[in-house]
Amino acid sequence: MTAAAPARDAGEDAPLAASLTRAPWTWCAQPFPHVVARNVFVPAVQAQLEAAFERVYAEFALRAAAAGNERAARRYDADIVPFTEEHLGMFPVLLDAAFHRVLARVLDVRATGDVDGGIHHHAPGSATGWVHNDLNPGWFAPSDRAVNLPDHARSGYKSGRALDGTMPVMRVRAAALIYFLGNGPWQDGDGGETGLYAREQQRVGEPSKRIAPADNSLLLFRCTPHSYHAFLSNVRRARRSIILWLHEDVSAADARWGRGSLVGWG
Amino acid sequence: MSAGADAPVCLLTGAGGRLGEAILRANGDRMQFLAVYRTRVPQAPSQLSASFDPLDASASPRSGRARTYAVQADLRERDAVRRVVEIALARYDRVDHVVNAAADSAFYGSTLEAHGAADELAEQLLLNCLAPALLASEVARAFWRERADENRALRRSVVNVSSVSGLNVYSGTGQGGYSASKAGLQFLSCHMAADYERIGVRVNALAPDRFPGAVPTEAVADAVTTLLGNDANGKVFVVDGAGLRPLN
Repeated sequence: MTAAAPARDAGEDAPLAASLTRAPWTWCAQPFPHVVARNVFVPAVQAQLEAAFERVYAEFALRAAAAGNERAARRYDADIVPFTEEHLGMFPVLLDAAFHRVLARVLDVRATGDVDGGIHHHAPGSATGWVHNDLNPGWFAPSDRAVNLPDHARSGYKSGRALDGTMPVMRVRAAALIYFLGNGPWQDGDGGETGLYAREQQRVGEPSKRIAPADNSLLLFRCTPHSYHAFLSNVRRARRSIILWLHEDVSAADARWGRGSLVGWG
Repeated sequence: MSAGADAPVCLLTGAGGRLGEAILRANGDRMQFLAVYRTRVPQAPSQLSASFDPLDASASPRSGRARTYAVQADLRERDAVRRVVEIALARYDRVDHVVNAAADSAFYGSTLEAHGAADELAEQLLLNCLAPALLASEVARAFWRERADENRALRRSVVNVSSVSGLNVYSGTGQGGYSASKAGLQFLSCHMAADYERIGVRVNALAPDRFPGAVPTEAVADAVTTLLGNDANGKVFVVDGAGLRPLN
């Protein structure tokens, strides 16, 4: 780093600069390269994100109650509301292309603009997850939008099935972001961390590193064959987070990781 | 701001612990550190961890040469001591200070039941009492031994972080093993001071009260900094709510 004034992403990213605090982010090498940051957004943006989360989750909970309260994810013990076009205006910064460009630059990813994600709510006592790397494929209906979220009416994100006659494009998850919010003061023993692992066969309860779900903090990493991570049971309090995956071309992933490295949806 | 290439080099153990992190924070702008950790990577900027401005398009978080170099090692293993000294000298060409802050702080119970914790007690004694002496001795063998005048001129030193548990008996707390390891470290420090005087290296022990409860961790780190820079030798210092003072 230089002490001189940095060459900032200026102009179109000025609103982004106003949304971020000046707190530095931290790059860490172990157990696999990742970035952590605390005090990420200014209070007004943090409050907007928390309010949007609560609104979306409340609507989901009502629908889930009416439908018998089935969990959105089978292996992953959480309520998930995937982002769709209707959420674009609700989650400032997080669903903006300018922010995604910063994330892509930090991780050296050639992102396509195709983005999957959603809000995740782990009720207290949610089960610990499994060690996985997120190097998965995803299919998107073509779009000219700067941020192209999955359109579940047109194609299946995980299946690649064309639902409206338009052939979806296969992409690969290249960057994963977890932003934690609305969890209140977190203490050792509360659980709900994201565990990071050096190898796939490591015991899920014995991660190499634990990332606490502190409010207004984030975990960011490139999805690689070795980006092993898992949700760890939240013993005392609900754990709220927003997840984003930036995607890249299949050819880029194949070139970098080798053909056959992608993990299919089981 | 980080220290320049001519800044003193400190070999710090326990760098990933609460005190180690505080020592790195307090001295990162004036020293270069070979930061030895066993399980938790130090958060201070190093080749394993670096802070950056996400909006600074000109800088990569991995660019630059960090002045702290983090090395994973279990100092209870015989080869680890030699290895970390080799790495320190390979990277910095010198070692100016050794701060032994690594410790097993567990209380393994009543001495009446020591028979059930023989392995743990032996490992604790090795890490808390013997490893500091072995590490300093290895630095002396590899670098300090033939440089007495230079050592005196540069005020090279060793600080062994002990505990008030090595000075007092806290009955009924099950900390006999820990207490003995720290008491041993204090006596060993005084013997080291006598032995190292010939090669111009000062050796002192620091016995902090419980931190961060009874004394702020930053105050203990500041006390370490003070002992690295003053002329004390062969002393056991206490740092508690009343401040820093020598006992002998």
